Amino acid sequence: MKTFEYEKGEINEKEIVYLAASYPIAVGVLSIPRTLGRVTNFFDGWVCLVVTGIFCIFVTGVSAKLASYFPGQTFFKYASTICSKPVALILTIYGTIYFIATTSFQTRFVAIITKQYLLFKTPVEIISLVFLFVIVYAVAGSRIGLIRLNLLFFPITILVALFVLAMNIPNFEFENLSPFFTTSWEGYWKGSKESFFTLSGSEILLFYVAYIKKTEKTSKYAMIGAGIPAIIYLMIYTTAIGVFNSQTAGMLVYPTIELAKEAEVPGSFFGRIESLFFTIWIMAIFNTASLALDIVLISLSSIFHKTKKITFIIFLTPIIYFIAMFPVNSIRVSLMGQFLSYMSFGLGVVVPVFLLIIAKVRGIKGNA
Amino acid sequence: MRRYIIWLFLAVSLTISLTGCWDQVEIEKRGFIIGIAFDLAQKKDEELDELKEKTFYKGTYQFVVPSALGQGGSGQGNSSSKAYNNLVVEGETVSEQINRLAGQTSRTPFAEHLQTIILSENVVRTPQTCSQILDFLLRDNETRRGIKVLIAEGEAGAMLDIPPIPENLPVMYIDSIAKNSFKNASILSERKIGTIHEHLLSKKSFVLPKIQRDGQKINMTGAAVFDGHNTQMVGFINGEITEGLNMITNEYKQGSLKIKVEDKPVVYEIKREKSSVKVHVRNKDDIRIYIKIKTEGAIEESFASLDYMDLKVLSKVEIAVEKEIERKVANAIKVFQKDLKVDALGFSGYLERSDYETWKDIEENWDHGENYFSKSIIKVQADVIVQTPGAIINSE
Repeated sequence: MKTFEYEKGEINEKEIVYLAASYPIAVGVLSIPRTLGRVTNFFDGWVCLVVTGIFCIFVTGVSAKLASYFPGQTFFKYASTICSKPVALILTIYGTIYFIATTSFQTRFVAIITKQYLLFKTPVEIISLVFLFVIVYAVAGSRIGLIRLNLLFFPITILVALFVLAMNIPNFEFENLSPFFTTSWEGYWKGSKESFFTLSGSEILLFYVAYIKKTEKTSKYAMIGAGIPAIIYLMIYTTAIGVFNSQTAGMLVYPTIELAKEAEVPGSFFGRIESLFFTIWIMAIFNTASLALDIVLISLSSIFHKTKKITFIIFLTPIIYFIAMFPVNSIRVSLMGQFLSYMSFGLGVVVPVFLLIIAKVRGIKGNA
Repeated sequence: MRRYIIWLFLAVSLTISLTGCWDQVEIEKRGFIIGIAFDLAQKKDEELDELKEKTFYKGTYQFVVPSALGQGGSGQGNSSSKAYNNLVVEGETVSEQINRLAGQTSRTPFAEHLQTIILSENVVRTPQTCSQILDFLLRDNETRRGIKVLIAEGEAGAMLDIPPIPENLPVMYIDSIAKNSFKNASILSERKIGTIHEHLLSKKSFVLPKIQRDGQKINMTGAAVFDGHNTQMVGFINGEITEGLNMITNEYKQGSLKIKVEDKPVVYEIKREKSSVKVHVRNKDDIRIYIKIKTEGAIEESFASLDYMDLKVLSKVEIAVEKEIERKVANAIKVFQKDLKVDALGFSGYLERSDYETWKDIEENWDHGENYFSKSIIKVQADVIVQTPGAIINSE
């Protein structure tokens, strides 16, 4: 495989906006109106999205701040500086396992939805395998090339999502939104938990900031990036409730795809925008999965310096595929997703906050 | 050498994978289902005992014959070039019927372009059947939530056999009539299965458009009323009541009202109609609903020689129209409140939005059990504006 070398292979500081934004936008978007519709009444889920959106922006800021204290250092290296090498090793392995499982989860999910909406007879195994090969091919090249690809895909996916929403304006019923604030505290808590699971993406910054040229404004850009998914989610949720009402949205397995199905483009030529939406949405899932796999490679090579990247890839691909095929049905896959969400809370919230506190207490300044 | 082996391997494996498209279906092999009508199947006497609990449906499936479509309206007289083909199958569930259908037709049944389904009144008079039939259509990924639903008075299958002049397909013909609701106020505007799903989940009563065959013609005025509690049809309402219903639910697009001024008919054409509903709750036994209806329109036809340039005359006409609207709407409300005793007018939604706590308290007994709906006091007030007398003041 030939690879094209970019200058130095460093990430521009502003590109972190796209990275922080495109990582959380993946399969969670397709079901967020359902998960919120099941636990909150009417339009009350917006509270959960706003609260967790702000929380995610804050946590992303913390992660980026922590990593930017140590410019050019991998997570393993600066974690060792802060809290000894064995602890850093455990944290890195924890992160590696999490990102491997995330890649598997996204791979399997793509296959499930593709089978349900696009290719009815193609086996799930084949769809997953093809998708996994594409991801593997993407991460096998240069890192900066992968990030540029993400930058290229991200606006396209957002535009298509906005297009689907715009086409649903005629179906929007304002009566579905009121009355306000009828949900119990328990409902808000559950809804916030669910929204955090799909909105959180701060964990990637712990690993990617090492490749940024200048790091003065990194945490600011990362926070802007983390705000974008929150806004997109809020828009999709609002439209879904306006079109379906909350009770019905709670009964649709993938309300966001149903939104695309509901949309009717004037003139019958583009009658089926759900296939367009879904095809483009695979690009968003590709972004998430390829970034996750790339981080696996980053953290593995931070522990094993001498091994070649391609060796890791050949070793990892069967493992990822095996984990992806492990759950037998879509409900188990969702359970796996839930388990991953708890892991992401540990890696994206607990780890950076504690590392930052320890670094402050022990007075470790880093290089910045 | 190694490079050539890799190329050879790639060439072979890619060629093999090219032949393996699982989802390939030629478009010529697809049988496009465009409409379905559901009736109750006739049971034979000997079968009755063992099938006591089961309800069997007879589904009439309308397939498009694409080759006959291109000829347009010109080939109508020729019976051999019918652009549609109706197949009848029986079965307990919809998917069973579609599977059986595959054994009867040369083309694979394909429901992605399904437009309309027609349920016969006998089917939906049994509780829950409506949701049972819709379940397949909502669950399956081929069918969309935009499929329209009609309720047939009499046999539903017969509707798909109507001579569809000037269209090609009976389903398209029926669809076009349904779209005329903007011109004829006694037709209910189209209802989609997605909306019905919302009603079924919220357990609120609703109305669906009615269709009736009248010899070689189709009549679509009127509506079928459903009790949301057990999703059962409770009765039909006629065109006049539907008109009142459309006025309350803000679905009145355009229509004419005939009134008498000085004992001669004057026709007022409603160009724009807007209703607002306010619910006042003192306690759950004293719920008052105030409906305000505002219309703008013109004089469409006048047998009476009146000077329409005179404001006094105009206001006289306006008051007469207001009386007529109030009478129509009050009539419709009376039918729902006293005869059918179900709230398909959407008042429950207004109550839910204005006083959520009371609503939660009486939700189960709103149009069921205690039936607070039929006990509530409903007041109608109309406000009519005549914008113009038309092109002339008087014809004689």
